[in-house]
Amino acid sequence: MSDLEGAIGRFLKGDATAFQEVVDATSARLVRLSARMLGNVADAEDVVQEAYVKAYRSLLDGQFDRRAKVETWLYRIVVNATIDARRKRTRRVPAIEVEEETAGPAQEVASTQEARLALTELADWLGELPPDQQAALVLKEVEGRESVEIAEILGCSEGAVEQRLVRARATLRQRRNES
Amino acid sequence: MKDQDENIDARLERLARATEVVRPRPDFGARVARALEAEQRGGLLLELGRPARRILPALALAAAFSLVWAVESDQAFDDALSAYADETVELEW
Repeated sequence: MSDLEGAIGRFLKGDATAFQEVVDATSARLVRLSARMLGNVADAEDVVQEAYVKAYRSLLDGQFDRRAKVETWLYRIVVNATIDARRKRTRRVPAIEVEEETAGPAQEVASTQEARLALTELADWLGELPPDQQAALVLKEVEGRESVEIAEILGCSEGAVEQRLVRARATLRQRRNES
Repeated sequence: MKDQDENIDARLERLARATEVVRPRPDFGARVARALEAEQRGGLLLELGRPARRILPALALAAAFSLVWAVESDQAFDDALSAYADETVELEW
């Protein structure tokens, strides 16, 4: 049993602090995933915070049957919430974040600036794909997840994942030829 | 087509590397903890509200009976009062 499964087990037995262990262990990966789809960290943090509250509620209501791995389950909640957010939102201007981060060491600021530009580029480039194709492509090629796990996260078959990847690539190629 | 695929792969790989350093801001854990506390308080209020909601139909029925009883009592009192005013009260011996 992994640390995450153990923490969830303890939470379900009444240890209220165990859920925070899950948050501490997974928040970096989940915010990064959401930011890679939305294009900025602030929106990703909002989405992941809501996802944790939803997961917490599901655990208390007994809706998580523990058949899936905890991490896969959290990824699923975050991907769905990110797709919903992508449909709803209007883009945020990250001016305040830039000011805050310029206080750090020069190299760190440079890598953060580069990361921010890369997030924007990634979200703009893949944001024109249908959400399910964008999610499949980010999980496979950017996050490096296996197709079987992506299928579990997206709630579809492995074949459907492969099909989404093929279609996503075809759409990107077509856009490239058009531009 | 293969070249184009490689271009897509290369671009994805570059963007994956560049975004590897992305992290939530330092106060994010505390922010989630506050949201979970708020959720816990909301859940507690909901739990307390649940028994009250269960007896709500019985309370509504009791209120309806009380209203009927009050109207009937009021009517009986009015009848008694008007009978007294008309001096038609029959004295019981």
